[in-house]
Amino acid sequence: MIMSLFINDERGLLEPQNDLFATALLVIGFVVFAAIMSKTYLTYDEHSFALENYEEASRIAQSVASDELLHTTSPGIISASVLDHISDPASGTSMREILFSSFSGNFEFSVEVVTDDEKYQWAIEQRPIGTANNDVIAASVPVVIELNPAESVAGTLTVKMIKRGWI
Amino acid sequence: MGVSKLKTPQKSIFYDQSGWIDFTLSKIAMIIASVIIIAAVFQLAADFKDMGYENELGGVIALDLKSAVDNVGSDTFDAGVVRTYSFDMERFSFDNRFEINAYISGEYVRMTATANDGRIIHAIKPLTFRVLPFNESTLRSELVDRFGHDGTVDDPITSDYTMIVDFLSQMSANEIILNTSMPVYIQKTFIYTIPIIDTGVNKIDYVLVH
Repeated sequence: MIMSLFINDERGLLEPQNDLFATALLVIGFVVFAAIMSKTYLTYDEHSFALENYEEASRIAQSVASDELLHTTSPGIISASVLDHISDPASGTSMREILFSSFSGNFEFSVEVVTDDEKYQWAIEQRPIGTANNDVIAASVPVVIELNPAESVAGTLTVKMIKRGWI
Repeated sequence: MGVSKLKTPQKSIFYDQSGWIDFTLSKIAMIIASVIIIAAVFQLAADFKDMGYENELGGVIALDLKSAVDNVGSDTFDAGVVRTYSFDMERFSFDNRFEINAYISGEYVRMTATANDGRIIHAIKPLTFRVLPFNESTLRSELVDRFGHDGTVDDPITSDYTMIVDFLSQMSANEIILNTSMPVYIQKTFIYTIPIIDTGVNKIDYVLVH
């Protein structure tokens, strides 16, 4: 009777190589372990990057919201007419330069101001930045916007920071 | 039946029962693999330790200094007030086997930890606000030398805004070394200029670190 079951195969073809298989398994196990550790580290790194940059974006948002350039009429209240002017790509260049002058060139970001009812929206960009293929980290602060001397509305100032490169 | 098969002399290597070559090859392979795996584990452990140092240097010590500088930068009503920052190295896992150095330029904070064996760990953090790595008197004297005015509220600079920014960017390009055993002075300052047309703004803010 021919026994085809490998447990009854007494030719010993595989036995000398048992430790090879064991070692191969060990190597595979080690590679999987290293891959999991790397993945965990990368995830941790990504999270700490996001957290650090969120702090950055929040600091920039607070600084922009309190910049007296935007508060020409009353202190603490952002003027809609200034926002109209500064967000105009053609005429607001020098004002934008002043607004962004206190920030170093290390971070690329844009500023968006939106009233809570979403009727009015302003986008301030130092230079055109594409956000299509990049991760964006945003932070917002609440602001008060003076639409005209008789009417002020609540709104949000958002700083959107673009993740580029290794920094 | 299997036994009788085994006892039959065969020329094929599949029936070679001495097995010495298999044995030797597999043992050699196992020894090589074990050495590689043990080396990799040790390397990984060393890498993780280095990564821990690197994270602490960049993610804690450099970030701490950067946050101190950026906090002064984001404060709009803080001109003239000098704040101090101290490197509290005892909080960290760097012992006397490492020599810690801190550098700052107009763009970034850089920390290096040099181990006894010459190994250097680097960490760099970019700064958010414009920084000048010198004190106020140096700044004012440089402005007087370049523009003829010191840029204070009583003696505003009459030159173009971009010329002032470019000049100060050049001046702040070189990094300076900070003494980690001494406090670092951080101060916000304004450089006054003639009002810029259509903005009414006449000052540029900088953070001084020295």
